Order: sequence, then C-alpha cells, then structure tokens
Amino acid sequence: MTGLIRSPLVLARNTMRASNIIRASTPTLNRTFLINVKSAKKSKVQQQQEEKSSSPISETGAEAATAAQDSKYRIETPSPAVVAFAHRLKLNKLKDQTLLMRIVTHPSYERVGIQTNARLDTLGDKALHMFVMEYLHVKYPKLPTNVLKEAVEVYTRTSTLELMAKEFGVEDVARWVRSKPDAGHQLSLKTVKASVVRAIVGAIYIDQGFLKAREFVHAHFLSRDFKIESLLQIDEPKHYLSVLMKRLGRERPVARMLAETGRTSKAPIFIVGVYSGTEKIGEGFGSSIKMAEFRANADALKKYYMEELKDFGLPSDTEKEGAIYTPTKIGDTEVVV
Amino acid sequence: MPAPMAHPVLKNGVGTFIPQCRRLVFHYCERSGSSRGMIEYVKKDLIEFAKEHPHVEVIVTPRPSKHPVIRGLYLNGKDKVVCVRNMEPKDIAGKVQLLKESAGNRMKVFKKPVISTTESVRGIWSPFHTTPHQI
Repeated sequence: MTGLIRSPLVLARNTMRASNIIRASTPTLNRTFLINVKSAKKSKVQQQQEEKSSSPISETGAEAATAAQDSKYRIETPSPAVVAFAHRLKLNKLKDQTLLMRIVTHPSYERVGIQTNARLDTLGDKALHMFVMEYLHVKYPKLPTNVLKEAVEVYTRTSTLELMAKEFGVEDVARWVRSKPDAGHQLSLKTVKASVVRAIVGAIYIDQGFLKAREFVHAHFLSRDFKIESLLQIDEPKHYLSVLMKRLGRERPVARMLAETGRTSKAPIFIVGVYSGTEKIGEGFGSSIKMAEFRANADALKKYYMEELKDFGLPSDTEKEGAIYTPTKIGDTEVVV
Repeated sequence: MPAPMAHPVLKNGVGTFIPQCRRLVFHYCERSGSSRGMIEYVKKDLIEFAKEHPHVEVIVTPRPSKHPVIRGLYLNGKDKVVCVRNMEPKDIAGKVQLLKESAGNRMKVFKKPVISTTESVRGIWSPFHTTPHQI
C-alpha cells in the first residue's frame, strides 16, 4: 500500500519542482538553447579555420576566440528558487532566460563554463545612477549640487542595495564563494547582494531596453520613502538666507515675532516668522528667540531649495514613441557663501 | 557615535508589489491517517497551485510518523507553520491561501486606529496659529 501511494507522490514532487521551472522558461529557453548550439558549432569551425590560417592578432581571430569561449559555457537551468525569485520581480519577462542564473552569480563563484554577473553589474550601476540622477535633477530643480549628489548616493549605495536585496530575497539565490581566511580582501555578502541588485537592472537594460529598465528603477528604487530635506544641512542659515535674498534681488530677510507665551516662565515658546518685504518666507518655533529665529531661517531655505515639481516629463521620455518632451526650467545655481 | 545611515524605505505596493511568501514546504506522512487529506491535496490541487503562483517555491517532502504540516517561509526571514492533521483538502487549501498571503510578520495587537509613517497633511494643531478666543 505504501508503495502505491509513494510513487505518485514522488512523481508529484518532481513534477512540481519541474512545473515551476517549465512554466518560467520553456519557450524562450529552448529557443536560446538552439541558437547557442548553432553558434557553438559555427564557432568551432571558425576556430579550426583560424588555427589553420594562424593569424591570432586579426579582428576575425579575436571574434572567433570569444565565440569559442562562449561555446564552453553551459546552459544552466534555473533552480526552483531562482525561478520563484524571477517571478517575484517579474524577471520572467526577460527574453533571454539564461540571464537569470547569470544575474545571481557573483564573479567570486569561479567554475568552468559558468557565467557571472560582472558585466551586468557594471552596466546596471551606470544605468541606475543615470535614471536616479535624471529623476531627482528634474524633480528638485533648485537642489544644491552636493545635496543632489548625496541624494543619488543614498538611492544607489551598497547599503541601500543590500537592504533591497533582502527585500527581494537575494540571499536565497545568490551564488558566491567566501574569500580564503588569509586573503587580503575579504568579500562580504553585502557586496554580493548589492551586485545582484545592480545586475538585475543591467540585465533588464540589455535584454528589454532602456524604458523597461527605467520602469524597474522607478518602481523599485524611486518609489521608496526618503526625506531628501534631511540631507540639506546648513550651518548658518541666517547668513546664508541673507546672501540668497541678495542674489535673488529680493528684500533682505527680517525676523518678526509672530506669537509667544511664558517669556518669564520656565518653559517659554516663541514663534518667529522670516519676511522678505511683506512676504513670509519661513517660520520656526523654539524655547528661545534665537532658536526660533534659527529654525525660521532654516525653514525659509528648505522651502526655497526643496521646491518640488509635481507633473513633469523626463528627458528619457524621448525614447517613447510619440511622446512629446517639454524640458522643465533648470533651477538657479546655488549661492556661494 | 555617528547617526545611523538613513535609507529609502520600502513601501510595498507603492510603485510595485513584491509578494512576501517565498517558499511553501509541505510535509506529510505516507502511513498515518492524519495525512490522508494532505496526500489528496498534494495529488489533486498542489500542481495547479504551483502553476498559479510561480513566485512561490513549492517543496513536497515526507516526514514519517508525524502529523502533516505546511511551512511558509517569508522574505523577512521568518516562517509560519500550520498543522493540517485530519483536514480535508478544501480546508488545507484555505490554510495554504493563508500562508501564501501572509507577510510573515508575527501577530500583533494594533492599539491605535491609524498607523502612519508619514506626517499629517493638516499638521498638528497649534494654539498660536488659530484666531484668538473672544470672551
């Protein structure tokens, strides 16, 4: 009786693992496999021809060499965990499904015939920086350069990517090898995870094109919650604001008390407003007049620099068919204090 | 001590949604009666489930002389285990649904009616910014 039950169950188990794989990759994998087999055969012939002609420096020789190198690579079937990972991030739409195993393989995983994510990582890094910079540059036209750079850094740095990798479940699928104990540079899992996230962007970019990669970056990176104003740290806001107003040709800022309570008590509160002419440009509170004024000046600067565009087009919209891109106004340069 | 580094925080569902269940492991026993419903479920419904949810890795593995359990593993590193002894396939499907849709967080009592990580649009009421009270 046991035997009777066992066989279909074992079968079910195998088909289930297999079904996950099959669903994800059968049509495309077969096609790419066939193509690769053809190219491999061709490359061998080419290699033989090249050996006969013995001209290794020539351009065709170099091509044949890379093709011959390609033929050594084996086509890996993604493991069920990798297939699940791919579907989680909608990577099952990649035309070349062999990229999946490549994305999750760090260069430290040195095996014969295994392809790693080194090139995808580099490509993804540049693409990611570009998309993030473009978006923030247009969205915050007045942001000072150093804050803009720092904001891009926040979205693209290793620690952020590592956090994202955790939320994608990269640790489950990443292939890498720990450095030897006596090695000078110790490879950390953090670096590996970040490389996989960048490689995803690179793979989408190379496989599906510019706009899909942009879509991925907007969906996964720029939809995250981050307060950019926390990066805007100005030491002497009062001085800075007066220089800014001078540069803008506006009246010099004046601080005025708006409300106060308990001036002589233990816990006083002051509300101070900063005015340029009749326009109130900032407001702050504090338990001392000085502190309230400081905050009011900082608030005025924040309101000026953090100006945010709501409906805007991006320069990369020009890649879309029939899309009309109207450039937004580039913000004023920052003040030199 | 330097301030902890601030990171952009994931708002799952804003921009994109990442399903949080990464793996479901089905344990059953071939000999005991409490696994009867589970075996039936695995034979009849599980393949269909696996096809419908490709983002979940499905693993079926025997665990002899023990009650059948389903273990869900989640992206936050936690897991949830449900015992499905003596259950009918229909009920097991419900438990599978429960595990699949869970985010893996522990059960928690919410004491406040609204939980928000963003500032209120209206701001906090301030006595200094209202019209003075007339007596």
